[in-house]
Amino acid sequence: MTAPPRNDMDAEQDLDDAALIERSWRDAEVFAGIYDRHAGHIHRYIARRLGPEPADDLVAETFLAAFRRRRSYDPDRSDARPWLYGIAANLIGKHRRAEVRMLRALARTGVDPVSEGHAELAESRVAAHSVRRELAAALARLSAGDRDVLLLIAWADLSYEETAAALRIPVGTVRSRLNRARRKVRAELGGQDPTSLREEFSR
Amino acid sequence: MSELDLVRELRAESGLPGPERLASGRARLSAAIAEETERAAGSPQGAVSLRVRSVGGTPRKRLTIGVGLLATAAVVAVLAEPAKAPLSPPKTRDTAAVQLLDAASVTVAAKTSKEPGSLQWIYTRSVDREQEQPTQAYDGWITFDGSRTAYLQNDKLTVNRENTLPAGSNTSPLGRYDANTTPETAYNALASLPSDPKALLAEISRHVSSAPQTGIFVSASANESTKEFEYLAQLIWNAYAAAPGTALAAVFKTMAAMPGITVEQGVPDAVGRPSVAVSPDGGRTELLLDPATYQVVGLRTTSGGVNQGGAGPGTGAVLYSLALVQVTMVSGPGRK
Repeated sequence: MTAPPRNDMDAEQDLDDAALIERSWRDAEVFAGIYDRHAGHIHRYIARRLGPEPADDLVAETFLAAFRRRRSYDPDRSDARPWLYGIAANLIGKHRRAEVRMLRALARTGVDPVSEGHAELAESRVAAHSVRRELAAALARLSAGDRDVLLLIAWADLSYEETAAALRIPVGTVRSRLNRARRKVRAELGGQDPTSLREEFSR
Repeated sequence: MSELDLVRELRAESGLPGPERLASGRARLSAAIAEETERAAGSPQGAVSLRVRSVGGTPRKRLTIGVGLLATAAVVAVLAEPAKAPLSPPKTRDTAAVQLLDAASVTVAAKTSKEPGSLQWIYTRSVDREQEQPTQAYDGWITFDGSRTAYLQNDKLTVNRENTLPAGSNTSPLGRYDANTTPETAYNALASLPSDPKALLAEISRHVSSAPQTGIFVSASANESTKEFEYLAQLIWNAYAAAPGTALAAVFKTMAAMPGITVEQGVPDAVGRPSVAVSPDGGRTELLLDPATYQVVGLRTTSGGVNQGGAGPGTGAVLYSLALVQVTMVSGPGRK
């Protein structure tokens, strides 16, 4: 295994995702750099939706799929995260029933099969904790597409444009799906926390 | 708080995964990268065809797990003699193997394993498959220092005191381990090894070539590199109860630097679990690791062998496969 010239190696760290992926068209090994940059965040997102064990497997599947399709990556997109989250979302979609089952279990019992074993919730999250069950019920009732949009924005911190790129839908569709999802969640929470809802209505 | 904020708060306690969680995904990607690179480069040189003859007189030393002597011998015995042509290792190092073993060393280094007390009882369940023999499962118990063992037969528990052989004039930890292989001597032998892979390999090489062959069960006609690999594989197997994480990491790094080392994913162990097989000789001698934790789960010997026309390790018949299914610290013999 011959090492690349020294200055080439140093430059890799400064390359954006697009340049790294382009380089991997010639030199496949370079693609591992994409894993090193993004696997942690992708894993966290998948684990948040399906639990840590499925995440171990699916994060591997995500990057394998990305590697196999790297030649169709649009080099104008300097950030690979939407592309990667899109692949992950597609894989998560195949486990839709399991995801909904776990959300319903949380809604019914208050015990979350996904985050069981995590350390106690911080005090500051008490307000969220008390509506966890209603929230889980609401998420379970969303359509898969609406849930994907809502969670890419809420959990993966993608922007509307990035979410649109990830799911390969127009930005307008992202906005309308997000609004629909938020309305449904709000309805599910009913009058649980009038103050916050009032804040929302007055924005 | 808006409902979007509430959604943000849900399961917000999940943090970023540690490197050990991401290691297996990295290894799988590395394997795919290596596979593509090899395909692009064309088939490797040195395809060797292996003619296998069975040799009647070669004694087979077996792991007598049924009497709780799991720690006294770890065996990889080759039933057949290798072909007349010497095995030539591939000229370039298998990048998938190097990357997997690097990932393994990172993963195991992160695990701290406390050394158990000398009289700590350890339960093991192992499964033994030999060609044309029925699969056998063994439950055994042993104390960390090997001074007591126990086994179940017809629901009756038999506890034995073992005579620990005197170490003799050889007082090095490796020597003591060779003379009397117990979880404790294996632990100490591992702990005594240098952390630098080159120095580790040099020490093992010296030890294997100078030590008498009794007590070290390696293939009689294997080349030096295979003997060293087998010695290390057996050592980490024998340290199934406890092993210093940094020493295990050093062993994996040493294996990564061995010429001709290959890995294969999805290899079934004796109970059918998909494992990662690490081999110094193209798949004939295999150390099986858990694909997520890189713990040793088995040892396997096949009649296969070398890269044949770029297809990867030969798919020979499995001659012998031993799987470690469970290792548990227990309060006494007979307990699981």
